[in-house]
Amino acid sequence: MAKKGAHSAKGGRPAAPRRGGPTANGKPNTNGKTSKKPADKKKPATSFAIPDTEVDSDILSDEDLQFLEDNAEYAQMVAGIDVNAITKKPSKDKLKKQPRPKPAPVAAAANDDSDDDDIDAKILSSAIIAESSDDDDEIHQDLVEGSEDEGEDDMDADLDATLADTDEDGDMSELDETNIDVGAIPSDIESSEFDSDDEDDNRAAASSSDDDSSDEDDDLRYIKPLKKTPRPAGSDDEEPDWEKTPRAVKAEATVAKLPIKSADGRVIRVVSDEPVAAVADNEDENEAAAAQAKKKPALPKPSPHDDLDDDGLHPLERIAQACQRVIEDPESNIGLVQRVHEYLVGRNAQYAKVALVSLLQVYLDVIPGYRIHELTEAQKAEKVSKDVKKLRNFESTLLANYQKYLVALDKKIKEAPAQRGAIREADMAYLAVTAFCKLLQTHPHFNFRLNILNALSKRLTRTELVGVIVDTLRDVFRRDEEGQVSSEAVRLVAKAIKGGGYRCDPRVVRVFAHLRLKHEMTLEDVLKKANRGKPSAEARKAAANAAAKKPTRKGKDPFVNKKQRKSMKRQLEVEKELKESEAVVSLEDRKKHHRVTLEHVFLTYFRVLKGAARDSPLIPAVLEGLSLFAHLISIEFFQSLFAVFKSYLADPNVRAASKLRIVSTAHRVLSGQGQLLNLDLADFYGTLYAVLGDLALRVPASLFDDDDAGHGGSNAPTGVDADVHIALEVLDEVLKRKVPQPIVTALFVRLVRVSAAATNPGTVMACLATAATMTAKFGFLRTVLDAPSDRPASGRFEPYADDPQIANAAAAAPYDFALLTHHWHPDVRAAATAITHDLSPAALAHTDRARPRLMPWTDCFARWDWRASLRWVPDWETIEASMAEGPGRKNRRKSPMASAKRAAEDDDGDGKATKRKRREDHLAGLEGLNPHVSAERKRKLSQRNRPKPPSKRKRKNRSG
Amino acid sequence: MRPLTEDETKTFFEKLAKYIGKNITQLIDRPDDPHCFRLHKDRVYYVSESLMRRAVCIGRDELIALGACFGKFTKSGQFRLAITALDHLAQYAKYKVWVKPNGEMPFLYGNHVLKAHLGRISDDTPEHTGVVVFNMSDIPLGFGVTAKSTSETRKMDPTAIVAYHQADVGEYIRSIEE
Repeated sequence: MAKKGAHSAKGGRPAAPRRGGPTANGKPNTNGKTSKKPADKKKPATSFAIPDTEVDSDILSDEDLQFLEDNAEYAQMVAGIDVNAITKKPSKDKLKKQPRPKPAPVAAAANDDSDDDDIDAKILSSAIIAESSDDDDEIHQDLVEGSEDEGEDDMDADLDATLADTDEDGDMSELDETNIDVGAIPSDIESSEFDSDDEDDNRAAASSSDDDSSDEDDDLRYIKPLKKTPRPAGSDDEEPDWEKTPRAVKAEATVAKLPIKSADGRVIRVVSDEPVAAVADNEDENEAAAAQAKKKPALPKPSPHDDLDDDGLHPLERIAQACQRVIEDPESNIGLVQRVHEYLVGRNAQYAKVALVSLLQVYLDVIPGYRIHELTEAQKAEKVSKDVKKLRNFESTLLANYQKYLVALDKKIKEAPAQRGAIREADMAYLAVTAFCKLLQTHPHFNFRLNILNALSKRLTRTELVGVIVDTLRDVFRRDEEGQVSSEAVRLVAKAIKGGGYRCDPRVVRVFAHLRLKHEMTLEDVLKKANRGKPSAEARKAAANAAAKKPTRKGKDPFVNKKQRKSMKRQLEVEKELKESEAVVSLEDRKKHHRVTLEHVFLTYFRVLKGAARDSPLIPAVLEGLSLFAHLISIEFFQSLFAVFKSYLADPNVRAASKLRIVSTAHRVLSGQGQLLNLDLADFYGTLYAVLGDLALRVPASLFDDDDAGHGGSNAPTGVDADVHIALEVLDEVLKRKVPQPIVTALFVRLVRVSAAATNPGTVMACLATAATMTAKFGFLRTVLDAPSDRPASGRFEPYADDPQIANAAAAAPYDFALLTHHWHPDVRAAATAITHDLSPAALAHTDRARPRLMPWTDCFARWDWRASLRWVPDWETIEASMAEGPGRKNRRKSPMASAKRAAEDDDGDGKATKRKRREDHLAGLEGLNPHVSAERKRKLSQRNRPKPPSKRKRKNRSG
Repeated sequence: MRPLTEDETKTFFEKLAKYIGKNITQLIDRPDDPHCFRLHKDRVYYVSESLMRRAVCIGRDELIALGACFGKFTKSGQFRLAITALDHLAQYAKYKVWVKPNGEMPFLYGNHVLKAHLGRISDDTPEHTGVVVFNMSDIPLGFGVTAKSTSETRKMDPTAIVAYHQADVGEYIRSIEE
């Protein structure tokens, strides 16, 4: 657009000597769209200069246009008009006007054209934008539609071809001749112009018709002047010159700055900031153009956006103003986007960046909340109201420009250096990627979504870009209600992962965890599909058999006559439309998309598991994902999946965390359809047991170990603690199923061992909490603390055996509890004491008593995280307040820990009062530790435990 | 009473390995109390070494049994596991089958384990391998041989046989007169 602006600045009106010449259609559009088609055709044979020539052959002059517009409604009248007369008119006008037009505007137009051409070429060639070509066609059709005959189109093509072949200087006459020869063309054009009411979808048409009207598009305005200048039909001699001029201008057009001088093409170039390489070639033409310009000045047309062409305007200002205007009134000003776009593809990097960002903002604001559909031929042919016309015009313009923008963005990314980490945040490529992300995030419904996804997924291999893209995908997945975007995205990402040889960032795989189908889909949905497949096959067989035996109508649809079928068809159509208008995401559609998505997700997971190296960072991510989606894994995968799992479990190189994930995944898978057959996962228990043993023996991270650097100071456990965290998670999972008694015992013993070996009080507390839960759930665990003589088990405990079956844990003596009752941390001491007390045979007497309830283990890590406590030492008063909430307790007790300790000390006491007190103290301690005990329960407990005031009866008795 | 010959050991261990796999070593190399196998009157006994040494001085005719009987060699040289080996097999069993309460009695009367009675099964049990049969509260009831692998078991109909009966604790009562 900038170029255009420049032109108009020179002339005061952008009168281009050449117009969309070949577009004999009568829609001489210098606009990108019109030019596209011819450009496409020519391309293979011609250089860039050629497209310009085509454009030059335009036939309509300003006056014609005006005339047409004025008379637009009287199409019939027009039909009666003598073609020759009309054609003559414009030529005369041209002659008159010629002195005015300056080559500069032409050049601008030419630039636009060339840009468009480039883009078209890209589009056609690049696989990225699959839809683009279609859209082009669409648009083109729009432009061509109605008024033009196909023959004319062909003509255009021919013209293009001839132009391409011929010298630029000499062959203008040919062009003219062709036009003339066609004879009908001018008339056609005229008529088409008159008919243009119908065509208004096209910018060209709009432009032609809108000279007078104030609400015309900017584009249209620009286009008009261009059209007006050259009239090939009128003057044969002059036309060649014209042709030349535009070409020359075109070559220059790539220059970011607008040429100022009207007459002198060369001068203009020199002046411009960035001379284009092609300039030299076109000098001859320029001269010719200059001469022409002198002869035929174009009429300056007042345009509302002419001020943008002001020389004094800084390019950045120009961008800003153009964008501002588009946002203010997108429907009429959308064409201004073109101007900004020129800066984007220009050479000045700074302007390009600004243009990129500004355009992004514009598109974010302007893009409508619906997807723009192609207009069918019928729709285009329909007569529509002015408003609708305007809207259609807006849509097509927006679409074309948006597409160009996307292509430009993709090109920017492609241009970035290929080495690792080469793209920094301020780089063009990075900006472009962010722009893609923003567009996808904000308007995932809009056209070209697939192209954006494709462009992004291809960049997933670049570590410096992964973060942004993954964040975007996550966002898109979360918000995607329909499931279609997710399904497309997942497909492309899966492809990218596979294509990258499984060497991508684990974050990419983890992003699948945010898919909505995790919650929205059930196993039945997955199975339904499988079941649906089966009966259909059987049914087919049955049908085939039946058919072989005797052909009957049985099993087929009941007989329907033609009329009924027709009406049914119509009914279906109506229903479909109704559905669309409802705009409700149909459940079935969503599930269908989900199913596809899920397929790709699992495919990726399985591929990685089988294809990637064992120590690949992807493996933990994949296992995490599998355990998340475990409830959706079909039973048909079990066998191969478990085989892979076992090979992983047997591999000593696989990390403990991964093994634990496998165990949990296996359990989750089985908790769904696995219920059909209750499996005993001995190997998996064994792994868990072995890993727990490793954890107990592993050197704990030192207090000031900085291995949490990667976590950004969050409270998430790290190192051994992280593994313990996972192990406890898995333990929970495992214990949900029915596990053989010796294995439970073995796991319990190992767990206690881990708790004694851990250094972090949070970890210790978490282990103890889990242990407490286990003792509550499995009564037989009490025997572990019995004296050996009281135990049913015989033999010896094998502490070093990694098989829980062999370990003979029933014979173990977990003295670790005793150690923990002397732990340095008071809370741990209290908890250990509580558990021991509960496990002791003495406690068996009070079966009615509440089991020890510690905090859920998951909270323990955060609560007793010592890194946090190093930084932040809690105020004791607050802790006390929150812990000893029991009514009337505060004053009596210093802290729950102290009370628990006292309870332990009191253990030897035997009197009734002591017992009660002990119980009370004990409960107080546990309650304090567990903020999750409901208030009600607390009240209950405290009531029960509070020493009863002397009962009334007693008093009565006494009194009596 | 004598140690097993090479052939006998091979036959015996092959049989045993079907049930407990590599855990045979656990049976013999017990760190607390080394054990060994001894043959006496065609029966194989699992004996602690100290007991074995003390038994040496008892004459063949006078010695009725020692340690735990694992089974006996038939006249044709095959080996048959006896129910008395159950405790040791159960401890080290590689593959297990749990029967539901309604399947306990049928099994204890010498019937095979049906699919309908199957409570749980080790996850990757192959075909024709030894399994120890437990009830749902993990008390060993006997042992048998699988008819199908775990994955095939899934598709079988309820009346099909999952494991063939070999021995069960009911024999202690049924065969008391022998």
